[in-house]
Amino acid sequence: MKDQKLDTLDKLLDDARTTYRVPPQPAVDAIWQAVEAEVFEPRIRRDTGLRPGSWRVAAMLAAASLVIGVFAGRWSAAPRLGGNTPAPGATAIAATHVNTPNQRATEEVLGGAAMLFAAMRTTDARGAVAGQYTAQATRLLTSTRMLIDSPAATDPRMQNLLLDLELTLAQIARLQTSRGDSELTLINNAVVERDMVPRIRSAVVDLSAGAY
Amino acid sequence: MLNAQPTNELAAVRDERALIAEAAKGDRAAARELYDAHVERVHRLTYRISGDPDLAEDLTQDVFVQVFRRLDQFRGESSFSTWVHRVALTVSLNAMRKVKRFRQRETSLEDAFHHESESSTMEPDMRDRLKAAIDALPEGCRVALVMHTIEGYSHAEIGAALGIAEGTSKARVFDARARLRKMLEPHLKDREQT
Repeated sequence: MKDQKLDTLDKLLDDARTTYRVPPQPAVDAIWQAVEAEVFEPRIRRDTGLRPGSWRVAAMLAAASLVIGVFAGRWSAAPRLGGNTPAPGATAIAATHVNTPNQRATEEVLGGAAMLFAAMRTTDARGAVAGQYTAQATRLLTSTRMLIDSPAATDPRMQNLLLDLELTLAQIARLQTSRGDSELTLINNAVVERDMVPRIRSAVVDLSAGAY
Repeated sequence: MLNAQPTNELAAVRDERALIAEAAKGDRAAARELYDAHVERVHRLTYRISGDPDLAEDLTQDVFVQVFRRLDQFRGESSFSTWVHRVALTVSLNAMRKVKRFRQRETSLEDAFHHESESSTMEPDMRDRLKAAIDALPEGCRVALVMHTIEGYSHAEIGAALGIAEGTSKARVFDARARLRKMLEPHLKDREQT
């Protein structure tokens, strides 16, 4: 009886070889393109000698706006003379909060994402440029996933933002040039619909004000 | 299974070592050759573990990014293929632990079987039941079972890839089978009677 039962299970497991999660054909070239862009990115940059065109200009603009946001947040969070000065203990807590590694890492990821989104709206996604997008998105995606699992995502607003960011970055990381600009347009639309850039800006301001 | 089985295995290993050395220096053509030699098996494994075509491709990408970034750390103590598969398992299992939180894809055994009374007129689909039962196994058992019984890796290869003893791999597969048998027992009985 037991042997019979084993036979039946063996038959089922034999069958599972061809039926359990049968892998589809992988997009070998597309995966390689992404791997190549990420691993050999500095080489690609040097070889193609990309002009400091719209990608970098857009990135600089986005970075500038974030820096302004950070300073605005820090200024608004600073104790005012003659105002309601917080207790010394509270100031110390705020100061330590502002400098936590989690906060710095979150600011870096959010800043990088904002720059990427800004660049994607102003340039097309062909060849090495698309490779840069996917490589940058993949890097940010890894950091974002780590942040999601860290105390940085304790606040529900920040957690939602990071989860949306994860989704968007995953789409960019899988961006394929063979599908033309339509995929890029869809991603750009999703970034707008999800209010990603304004949410990132206000999150950076809140972060620097110690609101998280 | 992990090692390629060409007619002249020694020459192939030598060729692979040369490719690894070239790829470590930044030779993309060599890296592509190594990638081509291993991508399908890595993808099979990531898919068997994740069950999601998009995620499997993402994981495959992550695996090769890590492999090529850490190529200088490959000491040749194990075969390159074993090393690649170890990276593949680490990447896949870590990712699945994170992804699990976002998904309800992992069907609990209870859910998988609770339709039975509702659809008693239907012939129970043992294939689906087995799939649900495999998915419900503890991770260690499931990975060993999938790698050994479904993908055909030897216990030595599983041990090397997972960093466990060969005997532990055997024990995990044995445990997995025992759990499957227990979970599927009533349905196996029905099947034997018919």
